[in-house]
Amino acid sequence: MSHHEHPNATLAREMDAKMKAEGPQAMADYVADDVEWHEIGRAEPIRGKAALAERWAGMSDMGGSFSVDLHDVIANDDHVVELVTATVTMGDKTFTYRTAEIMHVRDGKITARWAFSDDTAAINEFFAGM
Amino acid sequence: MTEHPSATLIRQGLAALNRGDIQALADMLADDVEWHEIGRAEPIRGKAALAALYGGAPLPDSEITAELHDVVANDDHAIALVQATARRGGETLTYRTAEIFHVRDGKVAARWAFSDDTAAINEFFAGT
Repeated sequence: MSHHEHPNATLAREMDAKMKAEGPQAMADYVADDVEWHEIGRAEPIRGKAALAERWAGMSDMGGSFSVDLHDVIANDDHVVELVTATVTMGDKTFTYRTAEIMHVRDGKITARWAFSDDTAAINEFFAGM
Repeated sequence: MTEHPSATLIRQGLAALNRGDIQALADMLADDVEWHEIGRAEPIRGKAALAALYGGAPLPDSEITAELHDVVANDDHAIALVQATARRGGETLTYRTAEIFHVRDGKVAARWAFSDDTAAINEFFAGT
């Protein structure tokens, strides 16, 4: 049985392709101005596109780089879930981890994002202080 | 857009869990299911091994209820967004998971659980 992909899943795939081609700043085109961006290890989300752009720029300034392998993306009208294997390089350290990226999408823009993983302690340890 | 049949299967499974219908849960698993759990390096392999580990309850000496927030599915994956409440002794832990499933021929063939704080989950279930 084959089902057509939900438009929000197609949107997420487009975002992933554009970020691969142009870098993480390309995500700005897909994020709502009032986005709430929840990160593993942070009690409070990053609020707003401008603050998120600062966060990404800060990671880049620290010499961090990400590569993301999109394993699958599944969506309905309420949620988009990306299954991702991410590899981050920071100086001479490299760390690979898997996440489910859970997003709300409204009018073609991401309004909220959460990241779940199978070992958040390892993620928190790697990103400590960043 | 109609719901994918794998999403319907997962909704039925969560409903079975919440009414304590262990047989219905077992019926939705493939015989060779790979059941990955937070805090375990290796999956539990096979329906029989899963039944032997948990017997008649989802977790020994524990009670878990799961509130299904949403489920998304395509032909390759079904993902349930769940808020679970676990009670063990006098302790209660409420946590959120993305329950990720492979479904083959109408049966769950593999399951992974992701969360936003696996350390808290590991601490709560330590020793089970």
